[in-house]
Amino acid sequence: MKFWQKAFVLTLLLFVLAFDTGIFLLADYSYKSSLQNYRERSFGEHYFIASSFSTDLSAILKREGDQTIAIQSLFTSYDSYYKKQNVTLALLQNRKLLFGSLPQSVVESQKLQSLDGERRSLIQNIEDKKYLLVSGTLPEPLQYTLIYAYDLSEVMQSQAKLTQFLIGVSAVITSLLAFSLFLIFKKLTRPINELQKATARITTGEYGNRVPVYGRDEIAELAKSFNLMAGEVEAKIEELRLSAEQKQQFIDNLAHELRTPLTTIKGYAQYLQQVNLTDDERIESLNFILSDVNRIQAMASKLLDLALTRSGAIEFQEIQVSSLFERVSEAMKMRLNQNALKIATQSQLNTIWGDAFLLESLLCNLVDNAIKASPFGSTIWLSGLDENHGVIEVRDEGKGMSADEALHVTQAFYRVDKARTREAGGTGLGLALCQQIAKRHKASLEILSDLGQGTRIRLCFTTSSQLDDNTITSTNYYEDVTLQNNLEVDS
Amino acid sequence: MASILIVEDDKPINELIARNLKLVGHICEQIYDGLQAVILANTKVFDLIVLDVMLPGLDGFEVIERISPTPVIFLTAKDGIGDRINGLNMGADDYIVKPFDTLELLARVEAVLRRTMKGTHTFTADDTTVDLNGRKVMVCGSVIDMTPREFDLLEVLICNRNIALSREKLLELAWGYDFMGDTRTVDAHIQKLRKKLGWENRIKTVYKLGYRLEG
Repeated sequence: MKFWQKAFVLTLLLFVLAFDTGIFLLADYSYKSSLQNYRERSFGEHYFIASSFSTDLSAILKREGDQTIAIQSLFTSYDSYYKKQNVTLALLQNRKLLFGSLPQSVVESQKLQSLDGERRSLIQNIEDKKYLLVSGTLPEPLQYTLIYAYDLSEVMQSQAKLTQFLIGVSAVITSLLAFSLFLIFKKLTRPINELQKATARITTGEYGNRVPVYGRDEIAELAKSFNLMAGEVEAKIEELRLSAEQKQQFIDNLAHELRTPLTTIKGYAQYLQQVNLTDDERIESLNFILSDVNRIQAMASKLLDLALTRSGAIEFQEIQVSSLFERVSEAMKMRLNQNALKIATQSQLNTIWGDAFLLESLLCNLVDNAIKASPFGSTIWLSGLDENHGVIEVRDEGKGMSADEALHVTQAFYRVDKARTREAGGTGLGLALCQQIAKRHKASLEILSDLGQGTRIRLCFTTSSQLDDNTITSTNYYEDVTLQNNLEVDS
Repeated sequence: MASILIVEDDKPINELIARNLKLVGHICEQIYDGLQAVILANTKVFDLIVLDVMLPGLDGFEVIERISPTPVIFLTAKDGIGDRINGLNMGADDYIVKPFDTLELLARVEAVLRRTMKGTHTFTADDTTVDLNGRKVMVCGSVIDMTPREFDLLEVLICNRNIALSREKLLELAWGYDFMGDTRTVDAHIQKLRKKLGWENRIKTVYKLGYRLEG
């Protein structure tokens, strides 16, 4: 049974009970008070008849002759006179019925016997009719009792009519009420219905569903909370979907990246095995095989690095930025010299808080990318900037990339220039690894680049765990820059 | 013999395909990106294009849309069923997934060429001419009697000439997977072929491997 049905039935039941009880009590009260009226009237009538009858009777008793006949004719005249007013009389002498059409058993019953001369009244069914009986003894010394019986048929009839009328009214009001209650409950519970439908739709996967919010009652509050929850669920699902998509993309890319060198290795191995080759061809084929074996090896180690950075423990410590830059410059020295590139380092930052090994690996990767993009003889800038919580920037004067490329460049296996980076021994994982390291430091990797304008990659620390006071004073800073510049550019 | 355009951005793989196709007698042109491929394919007529899907410039699907109808074999590292269906729907004649087997590549190239190239398909060496379409062998102008199995073996050798084939591979290619015979069956048939065609020096025994038809 639905909630609105329950509320409807219960309210209706309660109302019908209360209303009908009220009506019944009202009808009962009116019946009783009208009976009381009749009783009082009957007492009055009885008194009047009894005193008038006793006067006439005393006159008869004083006379000589057959008194019985005279009494009978007197009684008959009274009786027939009052018949017209729905009244029947009976006369008793010494508790024995003398005259009257009322049954003997009724009039002689104990209930109507008055011991102390008081009048008594009784309601009694006689021959399918209801009578109000009043008995009272006639004044002394007469040994007579007069019984007055009033026919209540009319009263009963009007009472029945009233009852019928009340039942009719009750039925009409009840049905009107039922109808309006039905409408009201339907309307009140409509938002609940809609909530229920929306829930069902969300269950089937339509996460974009929301419910309209009416008014400001509890149901509206519930609808609001529901919408909020649905929004959360939708966002979470979308997040999961994206993450699954990224993982799938990664796996697809990995498969592709593995298959390409495998194709070369397998193909040239078969070629060496099956074909009659000259020595030159043989050496060339072996070189192809070796170079792609190296590629797979590099990829394996980068993938391992990625996995380790993602899940391995990292050691936070205070790192001197200048010494970090020195180590990076030292590590990349050979690669730089090969391309006659210079590296210029400068730092407004004194120290940063992070994992020395990982940050060094990150910077080496960035510098390596810069080397690949830089033209012969240009300079790569490595700087620490005192912005927000500290920024480390790697800038080159290379060929840069478009905004779209910059957006995708941190995805694993994305390559701006596919053929060239492969020849340069790139795995396409470098920036993905950098991104991972940055993430572990709660830092973000910003890429600012334009075609032909060089590239700036900024590692922006966001965590407040970076030291507050890590700025080198301005005079020191400039000295430091010149010193570093001289030192590094010379090398 | 057919002229084949190879479009593959990875140089070693491109070179590998070209060398193998040249070995079996095809003429190859090598292209390393999609745009160049479209330009060349629209100026020159090729019997077949071996086309990588992931290319710089235009990808393989885009290339196939922009060139005049030519038989195409897709070459890709993607082996999702969706990629295969997509490739074949785009009008590719076949689909090869990296890393591929050289012999598989040659067999598929051969199959596509036989389907799409009209005219006679013959191989001639010394005084022997083999008509692959008519399944006839002529030595010095006279027809030689051959069993169907012998011809199957000869066909496999011709289609993979200059490439050494193991006895197991020959069994698989000429007899089929379900043949339960011994590798010595291969040796016996090779002896018969050498004798019938006078190819004692053309069909070389490759030490520890199998046989190779040189020509």
